[in-house]
Amino acid sequence: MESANMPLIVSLESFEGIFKDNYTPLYRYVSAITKDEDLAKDVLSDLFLNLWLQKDQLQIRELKPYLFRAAKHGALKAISPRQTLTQLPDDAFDIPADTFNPFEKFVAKQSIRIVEELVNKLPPLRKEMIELRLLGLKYAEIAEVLEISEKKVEYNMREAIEQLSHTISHSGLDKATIAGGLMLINVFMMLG
Amino acid sequence: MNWELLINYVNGTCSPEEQEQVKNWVNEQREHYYVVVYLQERQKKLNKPLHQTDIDEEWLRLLGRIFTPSVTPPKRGSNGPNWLIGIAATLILISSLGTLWFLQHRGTGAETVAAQTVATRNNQELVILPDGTHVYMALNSKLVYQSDFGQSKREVTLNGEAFFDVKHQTKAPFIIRTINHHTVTVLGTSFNVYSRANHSTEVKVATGLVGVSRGNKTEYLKAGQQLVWSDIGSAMVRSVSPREAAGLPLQTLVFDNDSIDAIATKIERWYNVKVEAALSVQKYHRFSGEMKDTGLENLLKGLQYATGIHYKYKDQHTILLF
Repeated sequence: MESANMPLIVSLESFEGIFKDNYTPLYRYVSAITKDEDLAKDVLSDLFLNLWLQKDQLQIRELKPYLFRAAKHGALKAISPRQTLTQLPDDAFDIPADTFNPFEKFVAKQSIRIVEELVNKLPPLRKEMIELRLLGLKYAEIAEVLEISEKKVEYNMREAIEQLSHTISHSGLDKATIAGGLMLINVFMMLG
Repeated sequence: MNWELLINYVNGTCSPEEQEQVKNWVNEQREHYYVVVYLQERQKKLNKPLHQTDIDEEWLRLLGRIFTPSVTPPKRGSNGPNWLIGIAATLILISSLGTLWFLQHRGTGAETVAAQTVATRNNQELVILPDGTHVYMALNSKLVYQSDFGQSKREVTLNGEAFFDVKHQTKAPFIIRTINHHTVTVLGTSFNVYSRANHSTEVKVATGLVGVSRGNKTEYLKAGQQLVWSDIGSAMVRSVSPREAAGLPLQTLVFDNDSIDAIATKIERWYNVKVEAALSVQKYHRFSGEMKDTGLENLLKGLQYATGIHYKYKDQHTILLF
């Protein structure tokens, strides 16, 4: 991170290092927006192709935020080729519903599911920040990815946890829902 | 609770005191616990590594896009060999993960399509695959491909030695699986593959740029380079003349500053015989030259004339150089 003035891509070898070190988090990030794994791979392939072709012209101060920002632009362009979307769709970064099997969903993971649903209800920007933090990016890097100030990132992250804690403590997560979940599964099992 | 602290906790980047702080917060209320568990699960899922083979495949695809020339390079000179022209849109990926792919692919669909087998014994053979790829097979070698070759994938299995002149297709990589479980993937290039049980696997490139990948690292070979992959698993890149790499299609044995042992090995491979070198010629100076294949007898005579190395038959299949 400190090596701001080092040329980033000097050879195919260093380029390969950049590709392989960053591929997985970029892939997760892009597929959360595109909801399509093949499309995510295409977006990243284009991104790295351009990066290689323009390596001598690009002035990249910090690589990681650059990659994530470019990946986001690419992903948005891929899902709305006609109008240039700058806003994330509402379901971006939503957790897919089929992550757990039905049994887990109702019993073991019930409470976690509720937190997930609450997180899903957060504004896309806040969800995105949480995802980027969990992918290991720092506030300053997130600010660069999202092209907003670091203060704004901090503010939104604070708001997100506020919002989340508030809804969670009002959801009666512990008692009622679990009981409800268990009851539901009982009903299903009897029906089945 | 500070969000930053929570995420640092989940990412495993906070101090012991901070950890304590988070744990206290978690114990305060059951809901807090769920938030942390949620974050941990999400973090795990987001950072779950992709299969290395997926990343390698994408890297290969990217290389294909990078090195696909938009114009054909012009021919230089008239008497220069074709093999020296240009860097074509080519790359090879040899993966030590090849075994994995091999096993995966072998299990699926292979039962439903008939296998075509071409096996050579005492003759070289030119095989032209449905996609137009030329395969020049050395003696005692076997090439297997499925009857649906070329429809979605171009895949062959090689046991032995062959020179491939692969028709370029950006969308359908050409995959060679070897007896030693290497996977050679190319888009379009010409090169020689030697792979027999209990021997080092060799790839010699006549045209094109080549990426040879092992796990997380790819080595780059240009035309005129060869990769030697010992059967204990270490890889080494050396130079090789493009004409030597293209020996099979040129019908020519190419010696390039070769020691007596290297000469013996080349004759062994070419004619499928056993060649021994007597101690008396072990320290013989090295030999460079090309010999058109007009039969073993002629070659040995020519070698004797050019180098003074004598030969005799120890038995029907063993030749002694002295």
